Amino acid sequence: MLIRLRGGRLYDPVQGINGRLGDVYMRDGYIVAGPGPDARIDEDYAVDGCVVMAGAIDIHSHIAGGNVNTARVLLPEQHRAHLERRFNQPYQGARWSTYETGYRYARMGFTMVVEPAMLPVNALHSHMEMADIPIIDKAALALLGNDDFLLGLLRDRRPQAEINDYVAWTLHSTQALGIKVINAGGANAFKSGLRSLDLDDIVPEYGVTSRRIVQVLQKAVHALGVPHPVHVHCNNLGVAGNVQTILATIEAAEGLPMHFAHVQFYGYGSEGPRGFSSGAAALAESLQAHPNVTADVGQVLFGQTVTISGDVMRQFDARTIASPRKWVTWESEDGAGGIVPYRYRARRFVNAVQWAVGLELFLLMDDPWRLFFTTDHPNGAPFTAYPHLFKLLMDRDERSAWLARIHPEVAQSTLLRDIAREYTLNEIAIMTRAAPARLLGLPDRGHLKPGGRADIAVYRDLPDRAAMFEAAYLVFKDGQLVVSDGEIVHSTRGRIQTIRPDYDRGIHATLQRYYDRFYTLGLDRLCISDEDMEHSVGSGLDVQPRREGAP
Amino acid sequence: MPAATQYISCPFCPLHCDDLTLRARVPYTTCPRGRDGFTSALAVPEDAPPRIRGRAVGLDEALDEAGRILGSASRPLIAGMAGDVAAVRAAMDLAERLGAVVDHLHGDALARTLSVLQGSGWSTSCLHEARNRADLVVLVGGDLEERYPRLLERLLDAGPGLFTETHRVIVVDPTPTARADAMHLPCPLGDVGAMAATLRALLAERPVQESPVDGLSLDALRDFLDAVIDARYSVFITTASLMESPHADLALEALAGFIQAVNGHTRCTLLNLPGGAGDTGAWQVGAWKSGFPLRVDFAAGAPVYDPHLNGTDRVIRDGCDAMLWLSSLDPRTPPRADGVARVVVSRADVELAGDEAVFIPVGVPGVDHAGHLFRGDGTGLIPMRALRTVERPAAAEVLRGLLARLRTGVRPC
Repeated sequence: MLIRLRGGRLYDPVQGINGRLGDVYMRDGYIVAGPGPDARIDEDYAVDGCVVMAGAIDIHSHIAGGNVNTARVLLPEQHRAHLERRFNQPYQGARWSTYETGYRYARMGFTMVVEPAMLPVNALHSHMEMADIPIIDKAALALLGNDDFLLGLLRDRRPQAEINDYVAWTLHSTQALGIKVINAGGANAFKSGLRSLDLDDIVPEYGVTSRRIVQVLQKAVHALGVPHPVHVHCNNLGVAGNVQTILATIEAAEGLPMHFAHVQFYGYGSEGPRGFSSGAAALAESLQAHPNVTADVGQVLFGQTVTISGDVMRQFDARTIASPRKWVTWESEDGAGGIVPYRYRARRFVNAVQWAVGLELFLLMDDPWRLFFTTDHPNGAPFTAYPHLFKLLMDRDERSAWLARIHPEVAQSTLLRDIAREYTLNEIAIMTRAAPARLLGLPDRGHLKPGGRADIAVYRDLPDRAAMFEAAYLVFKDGQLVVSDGEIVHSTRGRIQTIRPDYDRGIHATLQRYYDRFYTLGLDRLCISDEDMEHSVGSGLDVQPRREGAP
Repeated sequence: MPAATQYISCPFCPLHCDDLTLRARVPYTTCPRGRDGFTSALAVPEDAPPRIRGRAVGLDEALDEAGRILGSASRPLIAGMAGDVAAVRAAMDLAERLGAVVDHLHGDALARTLSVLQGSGWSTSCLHEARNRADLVVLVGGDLEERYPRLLERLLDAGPGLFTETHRVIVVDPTPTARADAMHLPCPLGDVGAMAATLRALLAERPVQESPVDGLSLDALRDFLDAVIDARYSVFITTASLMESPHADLALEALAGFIQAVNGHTRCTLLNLPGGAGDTGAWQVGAWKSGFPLRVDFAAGAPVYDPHLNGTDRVIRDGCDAMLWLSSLDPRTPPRADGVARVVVSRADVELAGDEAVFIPVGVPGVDHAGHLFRGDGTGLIPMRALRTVERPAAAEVLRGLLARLRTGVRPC
């Protein structure tokens, strides 16, 4: 079936198309070249005056897994159902369910989301949740760096090649697209009774530094040809003066690719009478100066949310500011985490600084290919607040209006007062489409080129950018119309994106011995086969290519 | 992938031990609960037919009738929910489609347990950390050996852990344990909350005049607190027995609060072991699909969560007219009441009165078909293998068959 989107204003940075009027054709789930004047168009959509982009990709949003699911149960009062009556899809009124996650993302024109914190022992659960997130494609980053097997390899000074094999095995056995490390060694150190861990602190029992863990994982991911660089959640999240930590970690990347997650939470100086200030200028300068690194922002927006993190040290520390006053920590095989509900308030000094730091980073960093649009959902704000964030980036008047509402000391000192920059539609298309696809190594999406997946979002070009991005006019997923006039009209099943670098199977025997000795469940219980994915989980799989030119 | 070993997992208690081997085609285990579970599940005749009001019928006819009953009910209930993850996923979809209330057969204990999470939160751990890191394990709640027969063996006899040579074990229980290497603190189940509150008061160095627990002196409680404070990492494991009394949530909340407070001094964690019969999977799946851990009512379209009003007994009492009972794990007899048409999707060896509208026997996961169950500590899903080939469908297939029959109708509301 041939579908045409006729007369839209196209934004495709991959092809250098910046607002040109044109047509887009789709056939059998893929974008195709114009078929010539005689072709029979089966479905023709006039999108004159509309903005046409590839489907958006969120590279860091906590949408599934045990930690997210426990947060749902912890906070029933935050997502009580209202008696809506317009249901045409399953579970459409079930707020904060897997279903609502898919519907709400699709409605905004997003067609893929990355769950960035999949604990290997919890991988099957995460995949089952993701299978129940409709429409959008999903991928997960597997967590390493707090696992006793890796730390044991480092303690025993095993060669990098063995670590590479273990990382590759983890990607295969958890059906992941990349590797994330959270406060490297921090969960382990917390279990041992430490309350903080800096980049050069030593993880008890293992005699290795946090720095070393990050570096060996970075090298492994690079050597294996995994396109997405190791995804790093640094030490000292949320702590005053922590900009020094991330600056040191950027140096520790030593010129190799590294992705830094939710950097807003590391953009803090310790200046001023309150000992808490924006360090965004120094951080943006460092990000600019190191072309090997990428970052996502993790913007804070005001309102009630809940913080969900594998950084158990940080979450334990935050227990005293829980609002409402209840909190969870959990410790499990090779990881830990915590859940702390929180309300960001515009008039609270610290929160206003956080809000300003995120926007300063967005606006000071002038390379949208290396800086990504996230709120670290739900940690800085729920993803449902994205339309408001688009508006803040694209509309200086909106920012000025907010400066009048936030804590006055912050309003007076923030760089935002003097930054006139407004993101263009082309920059938004880079930041939310083209760049994420490149960063994750997904050549089949993020653009409108023939051969790409027909994941396409069409927006009405409204002057109110929040209204524009709140509800797309049309969204196609794999060539199927899923959103029309802001309403979900059809629910599809997205697929899981994975990568499978080759490795030496000799690592299996070492793993088997380790698991038999220490684990309370068998090694093969942790390995998710393709058959499991199809029959038990219910997700289709796409295996993405390794990085071009990788050995 | 590593070569699959020939190990078998056990579906019959929430530990789901996955190190069983086949002997003479029957899984071998030292665990009496597992042994009885496999023996009775394997003894179920392989050819029990579905029935409509006692009359043997084919599966399609039974599904048609069940779909008709449930689809025309004005207040349907899906109860039991004792199945593998595939079954509870399908059952949730069915509840959503029907506009039904959904609850688990351990719903009361589950609601009490989760009310503690919802009221104050907690700091939990898992079997892995109890085995590898804990130098002190405290078992609270009684019936330890009946509920989780291999728990002590798996903690005490597995050899040195990653960071501990041995664990000190204290059993807080009305009756002593058979293990000589475990210290026993006599404490009636009803006094666990008072004990925890007293420990918390002692920890905060508040004046305490006397022990609230008969048979447990204040000095014994002080010694107990010292043991917890002196430990590097302790795990308090509570059993399902603790959660069965009506106000057990208060006891667990006191204990969880004490444990969180200890973390101001040293490491201390809670591991709340559930009752089993797929309860962990049921609330996990319920939470991701609806946002809430079961006890939701889909009558209005959107799920309305009420852990009190949406309990099985209450819904039946308040005028439910049709119930789907799902239990592929537990052969218990489903509840009955006048005016409630029952569709029973259960193990073939369930004892029935004979007046069920529809009975569809299903296989047992881990015996008759493969499947997955959440281990009771919540982090891992344990795969279950089929031990034999039977004609009988898995519960998930039956429920999906029902869903397909209901899809042709209009959505409620």
